[in-house]
Amino acid sequence: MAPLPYSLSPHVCVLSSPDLESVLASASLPPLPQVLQSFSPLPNVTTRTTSLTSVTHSSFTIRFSDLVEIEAGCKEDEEVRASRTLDWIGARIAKRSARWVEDTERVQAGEKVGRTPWWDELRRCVEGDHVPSRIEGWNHPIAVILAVSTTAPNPLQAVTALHSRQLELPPWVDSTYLKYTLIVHPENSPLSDEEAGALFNAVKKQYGLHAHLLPLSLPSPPPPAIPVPAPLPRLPPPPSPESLLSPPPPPAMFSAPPTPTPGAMGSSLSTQMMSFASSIDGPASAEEERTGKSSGNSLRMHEKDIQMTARFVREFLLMSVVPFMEKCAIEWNETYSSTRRLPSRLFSSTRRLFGSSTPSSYTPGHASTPSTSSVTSRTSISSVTSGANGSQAGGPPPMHRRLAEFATILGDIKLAISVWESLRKEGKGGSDILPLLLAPSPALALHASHALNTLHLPSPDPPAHAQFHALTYAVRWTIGINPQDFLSNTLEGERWLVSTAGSAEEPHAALLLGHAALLSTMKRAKRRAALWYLFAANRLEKCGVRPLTMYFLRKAHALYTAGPEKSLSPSLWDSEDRSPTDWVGFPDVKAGIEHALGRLLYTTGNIEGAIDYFLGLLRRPSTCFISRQPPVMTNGKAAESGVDPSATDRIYLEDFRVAFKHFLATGGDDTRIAGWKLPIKFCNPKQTKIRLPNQGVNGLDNVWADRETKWETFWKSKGGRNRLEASGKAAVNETFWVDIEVQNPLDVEVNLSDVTVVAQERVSAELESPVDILEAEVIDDIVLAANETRSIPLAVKVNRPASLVISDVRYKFLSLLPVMDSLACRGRRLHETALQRQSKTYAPNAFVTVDVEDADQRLQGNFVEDGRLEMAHGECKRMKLWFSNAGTRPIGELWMISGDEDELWVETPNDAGSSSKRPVTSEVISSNNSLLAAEPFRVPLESLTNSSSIPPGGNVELTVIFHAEKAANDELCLLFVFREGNDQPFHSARVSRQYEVNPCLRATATSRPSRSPDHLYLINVEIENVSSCGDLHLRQLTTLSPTWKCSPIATEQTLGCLPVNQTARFYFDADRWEEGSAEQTLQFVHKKLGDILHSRSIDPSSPPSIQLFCRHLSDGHAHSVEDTPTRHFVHTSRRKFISRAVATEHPYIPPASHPYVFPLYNPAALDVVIFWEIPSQERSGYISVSGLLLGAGHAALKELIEEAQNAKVKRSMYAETQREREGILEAIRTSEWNAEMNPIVVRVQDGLRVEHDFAKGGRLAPITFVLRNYSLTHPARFTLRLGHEKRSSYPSNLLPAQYSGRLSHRGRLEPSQQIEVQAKMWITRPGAYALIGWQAETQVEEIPLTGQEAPEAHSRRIRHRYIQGPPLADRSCIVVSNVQSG
Amino acid sequence: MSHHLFLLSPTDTPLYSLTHYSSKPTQSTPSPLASNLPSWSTSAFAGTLTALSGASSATQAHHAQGGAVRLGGGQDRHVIQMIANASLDVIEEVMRRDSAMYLKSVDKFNEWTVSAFVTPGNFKFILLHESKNDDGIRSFFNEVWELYVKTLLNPFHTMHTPIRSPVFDSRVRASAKKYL
Repeated sequence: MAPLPYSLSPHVCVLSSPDLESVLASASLPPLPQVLQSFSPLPNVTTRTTSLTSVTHSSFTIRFSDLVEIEAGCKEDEEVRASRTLDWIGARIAKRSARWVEDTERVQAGEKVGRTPWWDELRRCVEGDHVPSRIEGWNHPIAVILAVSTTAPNPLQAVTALHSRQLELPPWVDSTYLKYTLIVHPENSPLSDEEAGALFNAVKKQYGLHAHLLPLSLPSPPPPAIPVPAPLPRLPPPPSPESLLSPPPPPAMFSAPPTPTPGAMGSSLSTQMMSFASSIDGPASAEEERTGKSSGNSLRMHEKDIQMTARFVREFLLMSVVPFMEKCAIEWNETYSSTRRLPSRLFSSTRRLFGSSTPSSYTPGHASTPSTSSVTSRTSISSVTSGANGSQAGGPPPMHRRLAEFATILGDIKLAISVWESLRKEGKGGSDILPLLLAPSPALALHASHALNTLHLPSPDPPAHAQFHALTYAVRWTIGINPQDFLSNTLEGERWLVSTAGSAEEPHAALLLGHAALLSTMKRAKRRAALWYLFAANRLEKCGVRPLTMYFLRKAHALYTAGPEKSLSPSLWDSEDRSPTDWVGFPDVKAGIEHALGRLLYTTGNIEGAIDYFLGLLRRPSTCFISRQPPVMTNGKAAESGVDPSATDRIYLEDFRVAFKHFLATGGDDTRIAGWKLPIKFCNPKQTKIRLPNQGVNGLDNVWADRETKWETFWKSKGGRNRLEASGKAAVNETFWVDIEVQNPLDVEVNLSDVTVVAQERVSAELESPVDILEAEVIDDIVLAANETRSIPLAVKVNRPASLVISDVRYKFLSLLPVMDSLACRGRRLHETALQRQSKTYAPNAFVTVDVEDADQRLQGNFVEDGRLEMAHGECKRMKLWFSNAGTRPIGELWMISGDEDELWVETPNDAGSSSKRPVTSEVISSNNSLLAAEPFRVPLESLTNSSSIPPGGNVELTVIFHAEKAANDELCLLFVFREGNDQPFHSARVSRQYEVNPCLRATATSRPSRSPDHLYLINVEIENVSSCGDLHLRQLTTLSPTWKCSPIATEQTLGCLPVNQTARFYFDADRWEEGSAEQTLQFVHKKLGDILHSRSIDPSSPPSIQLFCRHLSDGHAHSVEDTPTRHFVHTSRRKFISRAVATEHPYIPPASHPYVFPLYNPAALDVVIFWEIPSQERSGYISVSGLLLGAGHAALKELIEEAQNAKVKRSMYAETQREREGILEAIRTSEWNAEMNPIVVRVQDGLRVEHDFAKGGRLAPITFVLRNYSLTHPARFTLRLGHEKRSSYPSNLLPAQYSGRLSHRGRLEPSQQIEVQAKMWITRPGAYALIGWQAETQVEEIPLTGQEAPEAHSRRIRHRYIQGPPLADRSCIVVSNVQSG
Repeated sequence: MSHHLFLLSPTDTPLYSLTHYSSKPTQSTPSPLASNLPSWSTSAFAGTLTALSGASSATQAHHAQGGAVRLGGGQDRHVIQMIANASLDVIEEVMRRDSAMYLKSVDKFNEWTVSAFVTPGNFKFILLHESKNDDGIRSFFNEVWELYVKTLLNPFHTMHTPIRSPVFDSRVRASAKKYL
């Protein structure tokens, strides 16, 4: 068991006569109580328990105090005194905290020892309290020493006067005390030693044996001082009206250390080895009070005097105090045990249980009346009244309590525990002492919390005396319980301190929390320690103790940021790709502490430190997702909707602004400003862009790259060697823009001022600091709303050619703090070497760079009408482009490169004249029949300008016609390449324009064999107006074909207005155009596909040109397709259609070789071009309908394919190659060039009406079958058989045909030839007869190769055989009706 | 009455936090002092005796006061988070000697009681609450665990990915509304 706390020791009051005081004062000694106190504690004191067992105390503390002080203290109201004490403690701590913190931070020893100066101070202040209390008896005097000196005029009378003095103690102070007489006999006394002895005997005789004669030498001058332990501080007396005028007397602070240890005894004055004179070190004490620093205490006493005094103190304790206490304990114990017997227990509890308001009491066993000591009794027990519950009744403390206290002091632990337990059960306290006496167990924590709970309610503002008592308990626990036990998990003593602190906002509560935190740190519960430090700091801050508040906050911060020590696998960190050190933790904790610290620093004048903290607060950790909640309605009103993040940010930002402004106002140091780095970035380097004036803002990068590649390919094919200078270079003295993206990561509006970019010049792979060549725009002020992202263009101009790296953005945060944000993007992660793969390695940072060149060749171009273009499908839009030469040298050559898909025509002055006005209905045009895309177009500068070049500063206007071929949203990207003249490098300029194409007409064209014997095919064109324009007019329909000639069936009236959602139909008869030649084209395809099938290389030869027959149907003046723009666009439309079709059909043939394999026009193809106009909007255009193939094919590639299949297959080891080869073969087999079909079309002339009088019997009806060979190349033989149909396939409402006569007809048809076959049907009754039940067999003959002798017709080889019958849904019939003849 | 939920990774990095204001009335809790008192006397009269000693009124007053304390503006947010952080000390200690997943009322700071739930993957769910509601909190934790496991099924979710899924958030909210 740890030694009892100092405050739990016998309290002895000393009443000294004035003469003694003057004697001591003349010897430079403090008042007697303080002199005596220096001799406490005493070593090796043996006491006896009630069971007469000896207990040896290695040290026994005894407290001495001035009786007058105690009397005065008792008169003061307890509540007033307690609150005064707390204030006094607070003031002491506040005064000294700054120095303590300084010392502690220098020494850094507190955590190891578990002691801090402020805690020691608090403990000493609390332990030093010696005024009796109503609720406990520890401070009630056990003995009163009446001290006189022999220098008094009449010493005996002085003793009598002291004895006769009534103690002015209130009735609730225990009056059971021992009276002791001390006669101090100094050497310079008028009395001789004998006279003093006589006096002593007389006193003994009159006032009992409790008396002592103390001879002292008290030499003058006083001997040198010897150090004694520092006294405990005591509450100064309350300021009285008189004392307010005079300076307060130095507080009596002469007493023993709070926790005497045996080791300290060596230096105690009770040892015989010391020879000192004593004197109170009054000035030192005052000094200590003033400076807050404890100076050593000393006593100036002669060695002999020390020995005599020590002997007296020891004798006083052993001969008087201890026996007195033992006797009391024994007497009271008897009473106590008698009340513990069963009947009285029952009686008392019954009374208690059944509602008696009288507190339980016991019958006092000794009711001795207050009396002065009798000569005969060894002890003088003044009084023991029966006030059992003194604290409530205003009487002295209950005897049980005194018994418990005495037993505790005497070391009779067993008795003490049992009495305290019984007191506790009666609800009269004891819980506070029991933890000191009992062995550690979880019950102790309950005792402690019970003690605190009974003391004060955990209200926000408990009364001062309750707080003070709680504080006393806590201090006693920390002293009286073994530190190891106190910290152990069973007791968790630090929590006792926390609950003692309660919610009081006083310095002592904060110190309790601080000490709890310190203890937690010793227990390695750092996170809890951090929390308690924070709580302590919060309370101290309210009390205004700033140095200590800051210390606590720093501790909390350090403990929190240290992070948890986790025993996790090291590979966990690897797998998570995190370092154990970069623990972030809760998002607001660090900010909360730092903010408090920053504010404290600001208020204490440390502006720079405050700014450090405030800057750090702007950092946003994003590890934790904080769920934001919408406000909840509770009881009809909205509850607090959690947290508003912007509020916190706003506070932080405002604090920073205020602090920084103050810093600047007080002449802030520039070097300090440079040291502050903003922890957040406003710039997003990845979104930084350079925007050049000649560069189309829009357009995807790959589109422009395509254009450039196209140009380079073209130029290389021309044999040109001049390279195209890289685009994207800025020109000297030309403004270009750096677009930076600024993003506000904070939840509050901020402003950035003086925003500009910083560039560095790259000189031979090294960066140099920027010379004065850059003129960058400075934006005065940007206000960014919370979390706003904005792109900001900054104009930049450079005055000489250079290669610049845009490295930073410079701005002033809140117009205060200059910040440089780097625009570096981290390079890609490297994976090349093993080392790079194992540890993260990145390529060097990437910056945005811009090259600035001399502006000798600059062309600026743009559309005259800029803006979004809305077009109808097929519309031809005339657009003007404006070019100006912004360079210093003329431009002599200008090329336009458009995309393959763009249909553009550059109008030159020559075109206008060439537009023919001939009224034509048909014409023949020639086509190169090539799928090759248009080449870059060289702008004829000669015809646009008068000279052959554009001079510097000169302008050129260029008109282009754009044909919207496809309904889509897209962008027209035109690359213009130019140079001064031959042998100069090319430069480029970009022009782009957005456009939108809306659908206008939906047109389809279908064909079928014509019923008319004069024509081969009937073409049906259907056109529907799908636009929202009611004013759409159809102006002209034109058919184009290499081998077919069309003639419109309908008249021109059908052209004209086509209302919305209406459909117009047009019919054309199609016949062979004899002049058209298909042979060369077919041979070309045959050869090329043969090359592909035999895996031969394809020679880049274009197909032969072809003639196209055009037939116009117009409502007046017909457009000629010969007109250049029209012809160009018709060609391009067809080219795009065929290119797409070929690309889908032949995915394995490389697209680049398509133009050399497939011609533009299949000879059998027929296209229709529909011209439309919207007169009200002055818009016109045309769409093409492609895809019709007329005429029968006969698997023209059959031999080729068979040959390829039968050729000795070169097996490839790759399945993919094999598959690809099969794919090619299959695609060619199914392509239009290998089309195969039955060339003979059988048509029955139906609708015949026959009238016959069946009364005369049946009749034969003639049926005409028309057979036509639609093949243009091959003759075919046919066999028509009649009457072969099964019954079931007849339509139900028609009668079956019954053919008679010749049932098989054979014949031969030359290409395009037609024949009629007459058959007969025998009809026996009227009705409708279905004309089915026939079957035609076709045999297509081979045609001999050129040069071969044509064999006889019947001996020719058969190429294909087909069988056909009537179509399933055929309902052609003849109607036979009966007529009565005659 | 408010609740604060934190989900922490095994490295004690919070990944998700939720503040829930419950509209349910505070449940009357048995006086904790009755259990705090070492057993004595005849138990039949324990209640009466407690009442006589004046202790129970103290407890009730404490709870009324505890319920009145609110989380104020942003300034107090860090205190709440600090309490959750501080409770980790006790939770780790309890985890060492107890293998249960649901650790009820492991710690107490002023008016806040801390309950915790430790998943087999060493994730910790911490709930700060003011009143006693063991069964509700247990069910709530189990639901949150289930939702969390579903979140973990996302192959892009690592141990330290903050849980930003709105589905998770709304379901946790619904669960809190149901049980707390």
